[in-house]
Amino acid sequence: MKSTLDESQPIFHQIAMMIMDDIVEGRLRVEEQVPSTNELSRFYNINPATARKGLQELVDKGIIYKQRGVGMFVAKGAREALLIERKQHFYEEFIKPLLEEARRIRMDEDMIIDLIRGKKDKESEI
Amino acid sequence: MIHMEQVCYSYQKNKTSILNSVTLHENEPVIGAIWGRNGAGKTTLMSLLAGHNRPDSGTIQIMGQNPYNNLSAQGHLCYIQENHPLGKSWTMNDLVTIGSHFHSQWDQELAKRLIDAFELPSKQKMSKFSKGMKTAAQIILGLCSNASVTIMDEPTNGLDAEKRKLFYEALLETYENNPRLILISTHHIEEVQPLCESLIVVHQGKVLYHHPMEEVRERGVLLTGLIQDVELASVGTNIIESARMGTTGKVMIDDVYSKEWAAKAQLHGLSIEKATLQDYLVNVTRKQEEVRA
Repeated sequence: MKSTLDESQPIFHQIAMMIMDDIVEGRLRVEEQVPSTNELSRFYNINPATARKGLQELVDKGIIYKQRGVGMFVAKGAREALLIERKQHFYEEFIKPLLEEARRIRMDEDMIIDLIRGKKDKESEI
Repeated sequence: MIHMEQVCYSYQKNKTSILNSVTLHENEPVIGAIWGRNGAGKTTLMSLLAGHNRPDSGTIQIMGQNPYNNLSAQGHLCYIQENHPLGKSWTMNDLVTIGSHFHSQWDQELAKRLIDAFELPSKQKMSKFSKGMKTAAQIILGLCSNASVTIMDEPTNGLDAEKRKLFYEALLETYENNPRLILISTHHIEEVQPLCESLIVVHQGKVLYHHPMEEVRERGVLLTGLIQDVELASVGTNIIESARMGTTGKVMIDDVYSKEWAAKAQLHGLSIEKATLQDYLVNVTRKQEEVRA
């Protein structure tokens, strides 16, 4: 979870993203309870409807599920599903801009691969 | 919960039109912000909703009843004016007693806690209060009323950052416990926007917008780069602000800040930013004036 929200994205979306990050990184595990609408609303000083919308986005995606009167919990397979989704977006979000910038500064793919490998080597030496 | 249908209002003396055919409906118990520049008609709008004035024409209903001169409609209402009339000899204790007599759902426990939190003396005369203390007292009256329709005109005026935060927290807490319609007019829109579900923009005696906050806060695309590139990228868009410096140009476009825009900016070699809500609203209302002129 981040400590503050920013302007650049819808608040409800940021709420959903933070919970998904927590699931991917293992801070929230399967069957573990996720923060409630009221907890989110109080923690971030946001309208409860906005917090609810963020959680609803995750319910709709099947990432978390509601247990009436108890709260919301991480669904089985949520992490695996998120990992698959993130891997699918990895090209668009990271590789594509990387290649675009590389083209701009006249670096070819081999140079990039060398750089990735080289950096890894250096890290392992340390 | 509130219905205004083609409401017009002008000052009788010189027939200056303040509100011009305003239509506004809100059926959900939401927290809503009312934003407008000075003289836009915000306070008139609120005082009409509260039944303090009678419209020249049009209809107003609060919880299904005309609020003007109507005691039973007043039972659902709490309207806190910017400089709320408080008795000269009243103390905080008196205010709480009066509040609990006027409002059947009065939250005594919250009142006690807020008096402590805002560090208000309970026995000192309120006429001796500082501006910030008076504002705090008005906030307590507004939030603890638990009225179905609560309208507060500039409730944070004169409060320092810490006390404003206290107000926002109290607002969310009491709203959670009893969801109701709470309308707040404010110039501090950046601070208030995360708390609000809807936004009403009043401009030149009209309701210019009444939209979900989430929708409005996504608008306003700022592009910066070489003038010709900026011009190329913004062809066919609604430009609400533009500036130039040497060969560099900057525009604000009235559109949703989206991935498509980010891609377009990159394509044209422009830097892109999301405009702040306040800048966006200022420019949108300015643009409206130009259109009319």
